[in-house]
Amino acid sequence: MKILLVIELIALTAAAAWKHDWFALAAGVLIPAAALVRVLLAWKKERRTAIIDAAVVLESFLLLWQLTTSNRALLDPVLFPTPENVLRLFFRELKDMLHGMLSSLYLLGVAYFLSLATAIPGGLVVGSSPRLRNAAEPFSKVLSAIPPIVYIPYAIALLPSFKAASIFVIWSGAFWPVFVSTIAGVVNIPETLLDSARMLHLGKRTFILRILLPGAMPSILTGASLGLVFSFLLLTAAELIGATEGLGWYVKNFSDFADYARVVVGIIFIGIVITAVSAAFKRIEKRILRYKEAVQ
Amino acid sequence: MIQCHDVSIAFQGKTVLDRIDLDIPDGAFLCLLGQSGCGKSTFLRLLAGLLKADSGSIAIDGREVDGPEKACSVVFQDYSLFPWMTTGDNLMLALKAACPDKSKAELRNLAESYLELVGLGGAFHQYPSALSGGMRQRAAIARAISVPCRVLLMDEPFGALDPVNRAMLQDLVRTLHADSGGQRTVVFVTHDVDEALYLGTRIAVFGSSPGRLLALEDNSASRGLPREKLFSDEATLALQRKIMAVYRADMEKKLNDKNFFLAGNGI
Repeated sequence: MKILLVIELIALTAAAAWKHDWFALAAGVLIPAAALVRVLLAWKKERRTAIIDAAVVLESFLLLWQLTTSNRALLDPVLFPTPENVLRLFFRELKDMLHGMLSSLYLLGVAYFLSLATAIPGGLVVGSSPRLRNAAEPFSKVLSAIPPIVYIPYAIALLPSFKAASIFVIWSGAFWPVFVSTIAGVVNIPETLLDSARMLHLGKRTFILRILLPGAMPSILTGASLGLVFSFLLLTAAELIGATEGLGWYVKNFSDFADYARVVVGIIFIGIVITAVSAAFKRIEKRILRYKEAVQ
Repeated sequence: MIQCHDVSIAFQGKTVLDRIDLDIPDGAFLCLLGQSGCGKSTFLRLLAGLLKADSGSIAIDGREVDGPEKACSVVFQDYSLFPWMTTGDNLMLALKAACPDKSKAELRNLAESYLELVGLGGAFHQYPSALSGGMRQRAAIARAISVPCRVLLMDEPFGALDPVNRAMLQDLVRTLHADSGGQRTVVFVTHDVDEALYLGTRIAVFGSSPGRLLALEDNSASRGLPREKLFSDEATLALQRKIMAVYRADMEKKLNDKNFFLAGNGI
């Protein structure tokens, strides 16, 4: 693997020097350099291997992209812009995209928070009563399988603003995975643990907040990370409703104008934002579940 | 005083406990002895009010048990402590529910003193996952005795421990019971005859399928003996032989019961 990386590095650097190709220079020098720094900083062997593997995959993809689009233009240049063009555009468009990101993250943040705030309490209540659980199961099965975009006309007709309709669409996508996993989390708390809690004669509030919620938390977090993915998927759909900025809007807008270089730029930027958001989520998850990792 | 009269319970048509009559006087240390599947754990859950008997009555100090019983606290073999809370928080949660008027600082002091009592002074801020099995059971015992309750129910609490930890915890429980000066009744489920002889002032032997009370023995004479003298004491050895005979007869009955193995029950 290391040898592959070195070969790619040499190939790309050579190409860059030959053609004054700034993209290749960046890909050939910057990514391996960044990978090298991270490898040197990483303590664990598995972590180092993982970084090198990821760098090799990324480099291979970039090399493929470069080869298929640059020299003989194997692919239609309108649909498949060269990496160099994309890189240049990326920095030119950065300011607009950062602006769009704020708008998107606001929409996403509000909708995601609302879905957690409704699905977790709802799931705790439904999960702790067998009767409610049986009653809710068929509905949650059907409703969770319906893509929320079908609600868009109703959302626009019934809700006061386009923004509220957008939030509703994202909310209804993120709600179900969190709701279902909260119920599963409550059901899977060991019976003995619940018996222990019953014998302490806790108040109802304390029982829910200090036993049911943390007991179901590992499962809730699994659902919440799935909900986060769903809400990103629905962001584009939500931003079709009367939005004039945002990451999903950006991609959709330039796709309508057949400006595919900007579409690719937008996709890469969305990828970076998702990576950052899920890294933050992982950190929070690790912090909440820290009680599990204590070693003997 | 715990009074059980004619208590029966069945699960899915199978009788688990059949007409149990048993009185437990105040301050007794009763060991419930029996093979797995004899319903001794079920009986403990009935005493705790976690299960409801199909027929018969259970009363503690003349009051019928109905729902999780305030006079009892329980230590299970596993999952007694909440893994998402530190040991200290586990105790403070129980104490807060038992004494809602106490301030946070008072609860904290109480929790610390009970942890010290079981030799876990330094474990206040540690999560259960960072403790060994023996330490976890100590913390569970500390939580169970920290709340003011007269009856301590223990369901095979040392079943998963190695022999040394087991002996240490047996000593701890015996000392705690002796120090309570007859104020605390303990009901202790085990399948280990020697453990019952070392700990119990009384030993109730349960037979299996369906669960019946086969024998109720007084062990208060042996109970005072130190561990190293216990099994050279003639009276204790006689009781051990007597209990083993009952135990073995029950086991042979079970082995001869072809349906038992064909159905896969109890294994």
